[in-house]
Amino acid sequence: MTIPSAPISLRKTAVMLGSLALVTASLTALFLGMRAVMDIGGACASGGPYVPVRPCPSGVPLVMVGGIWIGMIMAAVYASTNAGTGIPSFAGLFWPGLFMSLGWNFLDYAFDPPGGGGIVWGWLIPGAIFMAMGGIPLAWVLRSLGKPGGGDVRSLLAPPGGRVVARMVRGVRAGAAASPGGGVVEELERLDALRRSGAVDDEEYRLAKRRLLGGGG
Amino acid sequence: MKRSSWVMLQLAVVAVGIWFGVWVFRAVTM
Repeated sequence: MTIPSAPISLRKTAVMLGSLALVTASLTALFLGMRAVMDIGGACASGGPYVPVRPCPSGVPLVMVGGIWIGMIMAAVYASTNAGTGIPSFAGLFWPGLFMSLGWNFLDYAFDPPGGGGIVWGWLIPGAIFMAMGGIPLAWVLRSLGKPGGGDVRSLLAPPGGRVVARMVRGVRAGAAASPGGGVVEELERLDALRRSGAVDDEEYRLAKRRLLGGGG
Repeated sequence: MKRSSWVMLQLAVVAVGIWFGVWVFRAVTM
């Protein structure tokens, strides 16, 4: 099946693919940065007036902070350049990718902590929570892929409540399309303009509005 | 371009992104 939407410019394609690469690079860097911190016990500190007991591995704070910010900004760039093009969007995978990769780290280190010993519950629990936070949206995203229009960014990114809003918007659009002279909203706007200009007085306005909204009278 | 071609192209970009992420991580933390 070919993409039926408007053709996408080369520049926009480059921005979209570049931002996708940077999102992936950020997620990878966060994954590796988290592992580096967990290797030394799961917490570290840099700077401040005291000498930290466990200084951060060199460069890791930069990677983590940079990864979070670059990742978020690039995710927004990707989603906005992809939107409306009809090109299958990977945006719905960013959230599950972040939480499940970090959740994997928690579980991995919980069952096999660097210092040896038994299961670390302090890592097992966040691991399970992260996996659920990533896995539940992932299941939802994968389920929507098979449906018509399921690959598009709006259906992938919209939270469940967003479906209701989307249905309402579709309804309004369908209504506007069904009446060639303009929808109810346009009629109401025109009526309001007439009232403001003084061509229609308040009583007439109320009457016409009621009629427009199907209240009879 | 076909829908599946876009998916393949983007998967290739994801692979490059992972490689780049590892490269940056190594460069910054070494």
